[in-house]
Amino acid sequence: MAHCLSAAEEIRSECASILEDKNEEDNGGTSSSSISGCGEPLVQLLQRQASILLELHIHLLDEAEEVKKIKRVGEDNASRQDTLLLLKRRLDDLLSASYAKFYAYIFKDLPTCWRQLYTDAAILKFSLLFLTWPSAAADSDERRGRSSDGLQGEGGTVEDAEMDEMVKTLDLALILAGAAGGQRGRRWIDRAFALLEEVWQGPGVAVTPASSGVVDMDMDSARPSKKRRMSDKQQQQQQQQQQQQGNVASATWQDTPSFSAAETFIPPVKLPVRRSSSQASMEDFQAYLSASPAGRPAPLVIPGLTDAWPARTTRPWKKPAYLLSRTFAGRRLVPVEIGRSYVDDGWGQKIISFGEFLEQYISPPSPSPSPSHNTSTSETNSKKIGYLAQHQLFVQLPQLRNDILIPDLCYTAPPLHPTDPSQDQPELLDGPQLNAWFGPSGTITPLHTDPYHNLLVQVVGRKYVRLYAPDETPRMRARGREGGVEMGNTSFVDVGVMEGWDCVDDGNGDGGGDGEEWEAEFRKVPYVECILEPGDTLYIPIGWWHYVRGLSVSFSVSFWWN
Amino acid sequence: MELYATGFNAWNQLRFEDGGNGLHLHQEPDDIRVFTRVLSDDAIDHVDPFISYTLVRSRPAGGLSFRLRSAGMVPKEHDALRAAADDDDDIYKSQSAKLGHVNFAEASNGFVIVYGRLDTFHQYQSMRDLLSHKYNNNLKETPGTDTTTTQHTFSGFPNVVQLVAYETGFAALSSTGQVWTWGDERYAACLGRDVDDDTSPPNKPGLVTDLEDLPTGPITKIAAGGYTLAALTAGNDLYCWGDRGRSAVILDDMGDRPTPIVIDDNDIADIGVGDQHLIALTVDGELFTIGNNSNGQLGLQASSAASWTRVDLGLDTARQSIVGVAAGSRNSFVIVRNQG
Repeated sequence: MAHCLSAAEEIRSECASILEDKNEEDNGGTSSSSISGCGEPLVQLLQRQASILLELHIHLLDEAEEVKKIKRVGEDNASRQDTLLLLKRRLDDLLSASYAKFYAYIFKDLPTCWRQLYTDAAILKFSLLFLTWPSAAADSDERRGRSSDGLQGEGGTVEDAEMDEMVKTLDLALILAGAAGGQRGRRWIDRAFALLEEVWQGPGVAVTPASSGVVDMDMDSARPSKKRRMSDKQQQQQQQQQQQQGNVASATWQDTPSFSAAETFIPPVKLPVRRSSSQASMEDFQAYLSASPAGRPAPLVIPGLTDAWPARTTRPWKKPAYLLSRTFAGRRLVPVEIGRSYVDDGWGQKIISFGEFLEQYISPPSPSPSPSHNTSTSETNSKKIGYLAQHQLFVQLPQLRNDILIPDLCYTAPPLHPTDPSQDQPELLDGPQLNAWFGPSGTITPLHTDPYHNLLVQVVGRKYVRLYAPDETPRMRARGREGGVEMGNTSFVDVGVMEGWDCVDDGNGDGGGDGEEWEAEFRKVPYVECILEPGDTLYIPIGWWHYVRGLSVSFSVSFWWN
Repeated sequence: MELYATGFNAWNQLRFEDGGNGLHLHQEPDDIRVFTRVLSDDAIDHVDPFISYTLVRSRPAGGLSFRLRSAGMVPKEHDALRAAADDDDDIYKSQSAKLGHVNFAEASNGFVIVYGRLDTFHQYQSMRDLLSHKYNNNLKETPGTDTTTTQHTFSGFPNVVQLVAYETGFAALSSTGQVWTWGDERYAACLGRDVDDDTSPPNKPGLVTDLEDLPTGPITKIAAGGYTLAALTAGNDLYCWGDRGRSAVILDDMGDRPTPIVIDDNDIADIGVGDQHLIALTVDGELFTIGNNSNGQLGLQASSAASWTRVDLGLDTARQSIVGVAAGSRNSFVIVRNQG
């Protein structure tokens, strides 16, 4: 509760100082990272909501006192209720007004103030929900004296729905707005989640490293994605700490089943990627990069690099029960790509709870069509494929971030783009950028290039990857601008369709339309391919085109670095 | 005449009687959920809703001339622009020029357009950009930070009588009925025309050819809001177009080209377009609304209206008639004339 109130106080006073600044029209003033860019009317609207929230809290406290003395239904209860509902609607107005900006602007041009306005409005909305949440009455100071009895979220569906709304409010701020804001932002929300889980499950059950301050996010970066680079020593310490925590909390999922390893179709591998014989050390890998002819290293599969990851040992990502335990019992929301491939018609994204994602897309109750017959039409599942892809899951859920370690290899100095210097990005100052790729069998990432060197680590299940060298770019049938969106890093060619592994009914997935002519040409382009086993790491040098296909339930982590 | 209003009122932008000054930190003005009379004057001839305020041009009882009245909270940048443009002969002013009523349009992605002499649109990336580069008015802290001018001028667009913004672009109407659109090509459907990088780029004013040579005459009024645009012909036909994906599908018939919109076979006299709602006036004086009603912008009870729904203002039809409508992003306005 105190956490909420101090946020509301902060927001109120920040808004006040922005508005004062404007009134005085003095020139120095507010920092560009504040919400002042949203204009005085919206700043004032936010300020008003913060004030009303604080006032409401005082009234509720008074009321609680009074109730203790005399059982009395306040005359002004109705108007209190009106105030409450209006406050909630106004916060929703602020959320929708700032959310509209996420679409109106091209993302790279979106002023940070709109992401912060969204985040602050979400923080206030969460605070309001928490304030009026029945179980929260047991929070604040009184909780100390009480055991966790009665706080166990055993059951009321009403309570569950309210909890879901609280989680949703904050998760949307993380996912949609990147939880912008220097004063509160991501740090505040991570802490709020930790506290919320504690209130819900009783102290000691929730294992949330966010609350222990281990994960220190970069708050003010333009993109919400940056990772702090950790020294090896820190990593080791962290790992030890995790293992201890892991032992404590393991009971709930230790004897639970793993994800299905069933595979519907296995592409033949004729031209395998070179596989390093042993775990490559940082020195070995740097030597490999440096010794490559003309500064053009080839892809390489490195086994064993991640054998010590908690995600593969003490904190097994292959167990649904473990992942659920780390996502607030599956309540936390994740963005999911729905559809066969992001270049297909009808492809879309939605935000659903992690539990729902597991239930509906990873291990659906009705088994998929028999894998034994007709592999070439294995995609005939009437149900669409859901893929938690390309998401900075570990920024959103720091408690999972600690199950993996950034490979040392990401701290080597890789060469620049071999053919097109314009592809080279500014140095990732905050260390590698991590993305999660978690989906059922049959996920497809179409043939594309990344703007960085990539270490793709296979944690759970198997994935097929095919790679074409940067030199072949002229023959890769790259797309162009499509509807105002630059798609030049993605090919028209659907490798799975070309090879007859998939059939696509919309007649559009044949790789660009003009029949066999291009196909015969494209088939002549040399490539390499591999199937990544759990624990394998694939090095994809910058500029290499790659097509990725999930063979079973598969969870991979990509590390982009330069 | 009277002004009726309903919908979003977070800055008292529907409350003319208080002048919108009654905002207190501890009291939130609620929305108005049914059409309510908010202003009475001898004459009201123009309503211009902005997100946080409403401008009305009216002649007070017993007054001789029109004046501008506002309700709600006017952003300082808007005041500054009006003040600066008032002294700028280069900028075209509407009929209410003497009142400093400069014609400008501001899209949700920040872009601002003013229409100037020599048949020219001046486009800036933001209001702040316009103020600092055109009027050297550094309203706020921008010393040295943003020195690149992002102005564009588009010439050769004579006799523009209306300039409107939708979420990510603009539309303009000439006195001869030509409609030009331009904006973000990601929402090309809002342009209502062919887009070609060489001959008709999305980000420069381009003629909406589908609105030429219509059966019921040239376009006489345009309106825009959210990702929806609308145009009315001299013969009272309504055409709409826009991005269905982003509009939460307000109009079933809407597509990426102007399409006739039918409201119970009525001829349409006036139209207003909000973020997610529309308000239409028929030549028979009936009022219809459609779309999202989360702030009461439809003047109806339901939370939304999937089809055009008639709204009854409870007017004394013997003596009162509706003469015009307007839509703000989340509110609606109706101008009523009293006979006798």
